[in-house]
Amino acid sequence: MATLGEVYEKSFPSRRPSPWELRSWLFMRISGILMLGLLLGHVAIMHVFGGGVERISFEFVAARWSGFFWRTYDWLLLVLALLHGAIGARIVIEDYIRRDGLRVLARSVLYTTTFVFLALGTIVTVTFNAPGGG
Amino acid sequence: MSAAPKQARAGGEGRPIAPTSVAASGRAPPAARLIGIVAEVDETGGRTPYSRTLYRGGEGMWSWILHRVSGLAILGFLFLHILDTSLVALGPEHYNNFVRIYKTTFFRPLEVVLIAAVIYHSLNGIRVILIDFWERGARYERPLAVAQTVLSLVLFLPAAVIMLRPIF
Repeated sequence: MATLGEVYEKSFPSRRPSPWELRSWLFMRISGILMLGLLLGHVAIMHVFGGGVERISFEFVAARWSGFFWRTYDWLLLVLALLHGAIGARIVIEDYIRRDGLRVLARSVLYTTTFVFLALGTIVTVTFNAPGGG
Repeated sequence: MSAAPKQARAGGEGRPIAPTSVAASGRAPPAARLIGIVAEVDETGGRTPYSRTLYRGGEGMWSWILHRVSGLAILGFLFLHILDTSLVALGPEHYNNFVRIYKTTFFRPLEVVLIAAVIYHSLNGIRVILIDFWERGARYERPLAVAQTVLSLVLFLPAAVIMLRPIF
């Protein structure tokens, strides 16, 4: 049975995996598998069936977020998608931006943006109060 | 240019790809320059010519490019989507006003493109995971690519029809 490090090295033979690199690589796979259900479910419910985007309104969101389940679902998807996307974008930055200073800058902008959006999304999902109490 | 040559990544395709220099010199084809691939370092430390590396315009290279492009597109929409959903905190008028944009005839096809990106990226991700972790994954690379394409279309085409029907 191959260890995780060996599986990783098969993909990146010229890189010695740092623990952080190995963890983020593994996170991409785990979050990807989790999102396969969460995201395709989200797409099916919100975009394809039942009228799709046509029926989305404040009232729709309020009804949806009146329960614990969909709030947790949406928040989990937010966190997984944002972190998955940020790690992916970081790899793109590492690959294409060759100048050291510029790369550090791009990375900083990416991390800051990710943090701000993660905080914003979390605050909105957690603190939203459906009108009429929810 | 300073520092040691940076390594390009295979994005989990299970393929050795490596440092740059030919790409920068402009001898590599445009697609190769785009993805930053150049030549492979062989065991003696010398560079294998570009023409002998694995990505020279085959399906693997295109699926790798599509995976990046679809991923970045989805991330872009995710930022917008977090902003639009945050409008619920400001009240019904703000949220409903904004969401109206998504319901326009102009936006519906873009929504379909988004769903195509999500389906492609999801199934291609599964393919990458299988090649990484399943010991026969690399051997069944071509059948996996075919299965991914077929399954993507099976999921996408009906979804596209359902989504676009209202605007016709």
